Amino acid sequence: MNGGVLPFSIALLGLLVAVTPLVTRLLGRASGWPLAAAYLGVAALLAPAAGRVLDGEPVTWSRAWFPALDSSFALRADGLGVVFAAIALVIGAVVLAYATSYLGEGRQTSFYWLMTAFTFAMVGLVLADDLVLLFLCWELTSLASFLLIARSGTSAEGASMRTLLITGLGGLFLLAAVAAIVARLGTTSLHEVLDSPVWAEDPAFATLVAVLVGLAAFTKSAQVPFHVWLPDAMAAITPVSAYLHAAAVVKAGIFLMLRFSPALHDVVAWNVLLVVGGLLTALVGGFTAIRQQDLKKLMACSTVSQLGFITAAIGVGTYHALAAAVLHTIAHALFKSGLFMMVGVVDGAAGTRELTRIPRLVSQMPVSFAVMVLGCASMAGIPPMLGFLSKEELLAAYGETPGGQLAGVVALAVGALGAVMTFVYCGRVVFGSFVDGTSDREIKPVSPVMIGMAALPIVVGLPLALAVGVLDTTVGAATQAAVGGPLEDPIHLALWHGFTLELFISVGIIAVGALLVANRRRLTPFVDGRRLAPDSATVIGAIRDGLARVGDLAARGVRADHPSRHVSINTAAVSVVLLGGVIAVRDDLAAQPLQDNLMRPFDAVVLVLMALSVLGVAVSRTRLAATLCLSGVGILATAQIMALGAPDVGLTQLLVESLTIIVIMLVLQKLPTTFGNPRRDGHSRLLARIGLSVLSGVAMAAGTWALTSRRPRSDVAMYYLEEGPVETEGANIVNTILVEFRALDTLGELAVLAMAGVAVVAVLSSLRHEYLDPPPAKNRWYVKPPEVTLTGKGTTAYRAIHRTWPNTVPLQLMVRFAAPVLVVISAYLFWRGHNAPGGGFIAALVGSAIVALMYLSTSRDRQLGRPRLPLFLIGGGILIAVASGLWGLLAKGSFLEPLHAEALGQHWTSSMVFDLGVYLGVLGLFLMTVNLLGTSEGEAPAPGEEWTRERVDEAFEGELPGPMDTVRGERADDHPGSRVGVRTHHVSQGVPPREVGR
Amino acid sequence: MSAADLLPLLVAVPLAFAGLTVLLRRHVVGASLLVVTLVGVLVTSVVLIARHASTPVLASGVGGYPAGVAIPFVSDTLTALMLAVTSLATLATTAWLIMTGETRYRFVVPLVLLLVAGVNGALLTGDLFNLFVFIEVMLLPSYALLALTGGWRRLGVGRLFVVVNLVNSAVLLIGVAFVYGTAGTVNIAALAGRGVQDDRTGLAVAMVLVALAVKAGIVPVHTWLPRSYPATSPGVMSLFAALHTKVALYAIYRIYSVVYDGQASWIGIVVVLAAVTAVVGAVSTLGESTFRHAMAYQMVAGVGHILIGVVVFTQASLAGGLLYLAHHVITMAALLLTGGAIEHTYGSHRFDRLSRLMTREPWAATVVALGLLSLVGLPPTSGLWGKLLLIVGAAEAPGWQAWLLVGAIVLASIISIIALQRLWSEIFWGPSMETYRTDNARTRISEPVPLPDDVRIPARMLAPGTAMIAVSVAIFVGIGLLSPVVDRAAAGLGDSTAYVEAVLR
Repeated sequence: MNGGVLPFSIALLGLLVAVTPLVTRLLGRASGWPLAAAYLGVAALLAPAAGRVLDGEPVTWSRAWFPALDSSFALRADGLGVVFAAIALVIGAVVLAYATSYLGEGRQTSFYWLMTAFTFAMVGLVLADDLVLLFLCWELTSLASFLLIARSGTSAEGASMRTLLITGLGGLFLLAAVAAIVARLGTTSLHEVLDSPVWAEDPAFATLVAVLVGLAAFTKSAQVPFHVWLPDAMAAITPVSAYLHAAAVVKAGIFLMLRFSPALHDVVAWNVLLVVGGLLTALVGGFTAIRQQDLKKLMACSTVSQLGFITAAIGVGTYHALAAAVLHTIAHALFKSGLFMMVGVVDGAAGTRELTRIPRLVSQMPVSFAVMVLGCASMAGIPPMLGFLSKEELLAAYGETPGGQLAGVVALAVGALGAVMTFVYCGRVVFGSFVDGTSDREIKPVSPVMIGMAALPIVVGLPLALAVGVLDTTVGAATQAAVGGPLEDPIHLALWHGFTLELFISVGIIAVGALLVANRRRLTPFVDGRRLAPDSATVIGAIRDGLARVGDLAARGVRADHPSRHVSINTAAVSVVLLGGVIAVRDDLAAQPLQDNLMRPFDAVVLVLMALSVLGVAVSRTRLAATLCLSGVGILATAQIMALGAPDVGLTQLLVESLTIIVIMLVLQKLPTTFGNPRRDGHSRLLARIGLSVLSGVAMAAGTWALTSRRPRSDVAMYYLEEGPVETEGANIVNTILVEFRALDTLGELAVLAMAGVAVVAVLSSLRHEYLDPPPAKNRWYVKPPEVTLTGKGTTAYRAIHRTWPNTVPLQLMVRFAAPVLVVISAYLFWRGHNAPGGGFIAALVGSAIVALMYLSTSRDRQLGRPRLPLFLIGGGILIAVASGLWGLLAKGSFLEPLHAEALGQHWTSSMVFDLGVYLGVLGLFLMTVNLLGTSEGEAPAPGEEWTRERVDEAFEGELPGPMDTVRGERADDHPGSRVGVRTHHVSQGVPPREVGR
Repeated sequence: MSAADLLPLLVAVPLAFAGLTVLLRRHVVGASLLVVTLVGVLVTSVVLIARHASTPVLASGVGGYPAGVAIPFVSDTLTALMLAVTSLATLATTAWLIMTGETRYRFVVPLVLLLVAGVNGALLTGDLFNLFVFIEVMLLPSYALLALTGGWRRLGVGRLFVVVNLVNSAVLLIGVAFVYGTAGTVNIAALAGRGVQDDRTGLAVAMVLVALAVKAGIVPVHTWLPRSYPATSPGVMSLFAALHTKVALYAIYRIYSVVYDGQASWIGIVVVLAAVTAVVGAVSTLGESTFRHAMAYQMVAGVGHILIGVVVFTQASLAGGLLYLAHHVITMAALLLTGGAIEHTYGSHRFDRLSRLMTREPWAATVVALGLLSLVGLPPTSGLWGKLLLIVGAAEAPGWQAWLLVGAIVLASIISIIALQRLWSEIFWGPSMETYRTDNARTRISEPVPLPDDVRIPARMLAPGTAMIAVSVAIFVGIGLLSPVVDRAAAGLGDSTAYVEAVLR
């Protein structure tokens, strides 16, 4: 049928989450009442649908949701869903009502909010008919339980983290299972997945999923070895524990196992994992529960053991066993929620949960005593409680354990042993908290609401057991869903079902248990609460520390600021890939031989010289020598290019080389003259470096040999050659490629080049003057100029050494003549670029040569041009270049598409405007570099000379009287108390700088 | 002039504004231009995403030259999605930089604009050499931004960043040259399928991919990334985290899908590397003891995850990888900006100098908590869907690869949970904080002083991180809206015919 009521209920619960903060604002801790009513309202809303479900007609609803996975927001109520939703809602309502009295005064928003969110997630989980939705709700319950524990104060922090870790691990198991299922079956619909024949056909896949789902459920349901988090979670307040243990998180695990049972109950791994894990958990839980001193911890361990019973029954997988599991889930939800709330009552009355310190409460609180006795009777399996019935069913189920009679007997025996333990710790709860107390602590009154709410689920169990037939359809429907098909014969529950083996075992359990409880004082030394195994904090802490050591190792290996280590790794990786690749493709090389005429004698000369130069760079001890060798490499490259017949590229290369060397020289004057000593690092390092160099050299050579020069001219090249001159009306193919065909590349490189000047200003602005131009006393690399004593101040010799300007006179004279010539050459190169070697870039480099000459010809380190001129050249260059592109877009319909026109007997093209942008940008960069780096050094510059920092500031601000000596160009005393950087503005020694618009 | 012809404006406008803001000294104007640009890119990308529902690919040759000669600018759903995600994260980071005053450092605005131009160009271009150019356009401002803000170590680390990236750019350029050497073209569409048909071209393109792998930070060539990023300021780190590795990953996705049709013979090696990257990133997080160093390794782990999408190369895995990428950008921005706000106020991001901020800064704590949940893939955040889709995709890998990849995701997740729990406990729980470090205008370093009670993170500094985590939560809630887009983007990668035809038409 159409189950519109399902999304409606979920939406209502979602709405409840949303309005809870408002409710708590209005009602404070009393918010539990309306929220409980709302829970019951939702339950009532679902009741008609539940009725139909119990009649055997599942209620479904679905909407498309997550197309990437073909996942839909599908809800489906079947027997299991109804039972678990009812538990979540009804127990939730009781707990909320209880909380109104338990909680202290105050808004308690986080508690109520998380509880409603928790219920929302839980109901979503049990009604989900889609793996994605199921997983989502599963994670939400993990998160909600974590937050509920974490909100309980400092002591709960560690416990909440461990809870999150373990349930998070479970979430990952489930996620892996979901991934495996979706990858295999291609659907996320849960019922389609469960109905699939693949579970029988592919045992390996079924085993994988069984193990993953089983482990996921184990983490949630606190099965060994993941049980450690549940006792830990005791740090949370009692209502949270009651809900967690009875209705929510741990039941989510049980639910998951029941949900997947139709698919997996015949998988051996599933049976083994669940039966062994479950029974082991029952024993471990029971054993630790017996030994606990803290009432609440005892109760937590009892949950572990009870869940173990259920898990084992699910693992048995027969329909009787599944019915028993469902029945015990219901019974456990009832008695455990009540008992936990009773722990809260005892805690409230006695002010302690230590069994040795609780006074004798029985006389003062008879009603509470009765409730506690009934609850424990149910847990211990004493007739006529519901717990008795469910335990009988469980024992019967263990007898059916697959794998032969022996397995059944062993399981039954272990189950019985677990039940004896249950009996014993139940006895401890009753007698320890109410009867045996000797302490004379004051007994405080406890709110009747708390006792009433705690009693409610326990007392309900009594008539339910007597008239257990009413559960027939419910348990039947749930079992049907867990079996995944119609039942062999209908479930019929009754308190008395004749003299069966289980009955005798039960009698035996009660007898042995009663004997042990009667002699409980002799057990006292055994009950010391000590842990026999290391607790979860220790184990998880050890795992974390171990991982941290691995992590430290992994991170430490690369913790170096020096680039060499990182570059070595990268270079080695590149070389290995390239060399390996060339070896792999060697067979293809024969098919594509090298083109003719590749080798000429001249190449060998260049090769040898260049190799020597590179070697020179590598072995030079002084920076100057290294720079010279580097320039040698550049010049040789120019020669090689020229020899290949590309004058345009060669010219560019030559100019770039010269100007680069000038800039490097400017930088060198600020650096120590020598490099560090490479031998300092030791012989093996040196060898490793040489080895890496040789390896990368060989790799690059092999790559070049294998991957280039083995094909005729490409189509693109032919197009450039044939169509280029026609299309662009320019004869210089290099230029037309640069400014027309691939102008976008040029635009990008122009931006890079020009903005490099801006980047230099930006970085230098962030450094204080004393670091940029350290005084000689602080500069450990400072080399004092040699003292040259010369007599006769006016002599030529004296002037030649001590006065700079006479030395520069010849150069200045030369500049006066050369500069105009260079300007003309520059303009000419620019002009003719389209047809002959030249163009904006080369022309700009020639223009830069003027700048370089002018800089070299000055006697003092003087700024060239107005301080902000470079910025205008840079910004203007970029703007002009982009503008020419936009012109093309507007006029011709494509960005950077050139326009051509004939005028004045000349061919004009808009790409010349673009070229102008290039020209300005490059010139601006060079001017900026020379201005910023060409400053004086030393303690006090001569009059008229400037500090680097001052130049930097002036490049941005215009003329200044001195450097603005701040780290970030802001002033600290401007806004005392406020953090610097918030209102950053520039300061120059107390005088705020001129800024446009201020 | 068609709509496709307007694509270069996504580069031209930021570039022009970069030129303009170099000239303008008025901060308000520069900051406004930056914000306007980013909003414009964001809006354009959303329009593009909508448009690609009917027109899967928009392509145009820049300069109006014939296809194959012109540099193509191409946009499909993937490109538009990347534009949207990167511009969103950049916008939030820019807002943060404005709030903290970092945009007032000289030329931060033009440098960020240039970075944006480079990112957009790298995402839109369909040409390998042009990709190299735009990666350079991204790198140049990054050199400056890295060394401009942050602590004293930024300069030494700046050298590391510059050297590594310069060498790597050279490798990238050599790779592009090899591609031209073997195939005679560097147009990605023209190279379609050539990686498989011709082993030499395959090798040449592999060189390009190796260079991109270094940029992306894949183990074992990741080392420079967690070393350099944390040395700069949180804002700049957030910018880099959202842009650099992600653009490289985008390029890897694109090139691998078009040139190799997603079936290179050597992909098994990358499968192992992806798994190792995810786990090494997670485990290295445990070895660090500052917020941003931990985040840097989480980035490495994220790179491993994202890479899984492309190595498995099924519809689900590609969608998973892309969703994870989007999620990771947004989550990382939220975490770095909020962590940055903490650092900015309390003067440190070291675990041992921060403590008990949960009570002091509940808002920041909430944002960080959600961010950490997102990183480990828990609700109510985008991380859940990213991890879910990715792991489903990984399970579709053949044979041992599925086991390895799913195992790596699970292992990395659990280790990340442990590591981030430690981070959380150290910073937000523990004893109350007694001292903090104020900022010092002259030295940037200062001694600890008693922490007064009224020191709090200003709300405006928390706003950008909050907005980003809100986006993450919105993705969690509205996955139904985002999922078709991711699906379309993945489909465009899985079958690149439409891309190739649109470019070479």
